[in-house]
Amino acid sequence: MNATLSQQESLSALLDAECDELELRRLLPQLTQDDELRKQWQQLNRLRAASHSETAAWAACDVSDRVRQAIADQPQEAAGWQHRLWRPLAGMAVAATVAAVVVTGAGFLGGTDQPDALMAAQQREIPAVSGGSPVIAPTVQGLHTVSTEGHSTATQPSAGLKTGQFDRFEPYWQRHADQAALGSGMTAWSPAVRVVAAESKR
Amino acid sequence: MLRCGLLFVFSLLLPQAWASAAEDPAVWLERLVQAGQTHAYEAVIVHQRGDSLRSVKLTHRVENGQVHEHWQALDQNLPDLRREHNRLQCVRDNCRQRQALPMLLRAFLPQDVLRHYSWQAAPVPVRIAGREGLQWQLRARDDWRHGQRLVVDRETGLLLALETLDASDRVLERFRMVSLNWLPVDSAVPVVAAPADTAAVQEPAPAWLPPGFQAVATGSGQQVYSDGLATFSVFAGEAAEAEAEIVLQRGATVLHARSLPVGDGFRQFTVVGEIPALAARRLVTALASEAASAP
Repeated sequence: MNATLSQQESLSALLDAECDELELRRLLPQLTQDDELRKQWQQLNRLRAASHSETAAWAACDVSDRVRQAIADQPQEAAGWQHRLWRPLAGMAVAATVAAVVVTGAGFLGGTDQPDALMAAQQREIPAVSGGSPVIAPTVQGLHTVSTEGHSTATQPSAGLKTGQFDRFEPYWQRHADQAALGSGMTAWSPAVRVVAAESKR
Repeated sequence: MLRCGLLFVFSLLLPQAWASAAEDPAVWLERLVQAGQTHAYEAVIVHQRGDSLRSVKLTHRVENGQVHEHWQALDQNLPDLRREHNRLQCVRDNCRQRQALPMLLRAFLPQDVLRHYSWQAAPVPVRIAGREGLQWQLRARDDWRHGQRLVVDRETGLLLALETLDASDRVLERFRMVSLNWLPVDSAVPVVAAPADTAAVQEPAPAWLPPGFQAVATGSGQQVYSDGLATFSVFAGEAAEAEAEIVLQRGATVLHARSLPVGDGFRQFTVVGEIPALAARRLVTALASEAASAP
């Protein structure tokens, strides 16, 4: 079963510790039953780990049972105004519980899952087709991550993308670079250089 | 007697105030922006992205308060590029001219920008392109933006070097002046042709934005957001079919695209910008979620 957009948003919120308790209670059973949702959760964690240059050891951790147990062990909240008053604190407690379980789970399960996306991008390099910088092209779990150097990489079958897909995205790079270059401010340098690079294809 | 006392207290406080201003990154950010608008110079800049290294000659002039720039690649056969106020133009090879989208908000207060970054207590003195500079390292306070390491000229505030850093302080992309010559202000500036038309097309904005990011330009199916340092663009358009998510990266810039069925057809949402992949992914998910739930 594919994860719905609402579920993906909830996962993002959970990752950012913005998930409230009700959302968490709704999400955990789904994580237990839905393989696709679990993959999404692991993928999100790998992306975060990649941006921190960490190993994604705990991304493979199935936290649902432990978290559910941890929540069940917590005392029930009072009803009425007390419930409303203490709700933010209760939410924080749940978030802290999740963090503790996840970290413990990471140490327990270890890093057995394959790296993907940006994690793999740092480890596997494939020579570029027409010179320039290395092209990095892992393909795991539907994510295609390629690092290029302003040149077309459309003939990289290992990237898992169809021929022409890289070129299809070229206008997006360029339009973004244009606007960033034209915007005032200190970052005008870098996009302007990128624009120059992008023009080489014309 | 009282006057003498006040003068004495003032003389004690003045150096401290001076020192705190010199060590305030907000002051330097402001000086940096002003320097780009008031100084004319010619510089050779080295750009590093991964293993790739290229050098560019930049001629930067200011006339009537407007910035004119000429970019020339020194080690590759690339077309020259001119930037004049809100227009980009290629000089050779008949490149199309490009105009900025209408700007919604042009200025960010340095204090607002710095709310999302932390920095060291005092800048590090460094020497770049024969100039004495101060190096500031701005670390992102959250996962939604990259860190920046800036070197500004101590005398003028001009930006001498810029590095974009990931959360572990690894350099994703680097720009660095290697030579700098000042030019007289108000030099003759080449005239650039009239701008091309841009049709304004409003697209749905993402329901979620990283804290501090605001729309700065919109139109032609593109919306641009910035926190004052980092920038990303959001695109929404028709797609032929639903596809897997695609994440591409070039230096500090990431592209995240996703297409999905909406109504009778397919829509593609693309985010491109100098932001972490995680931020781009969440933006795309928010856009897709919004489109899917629209009536």
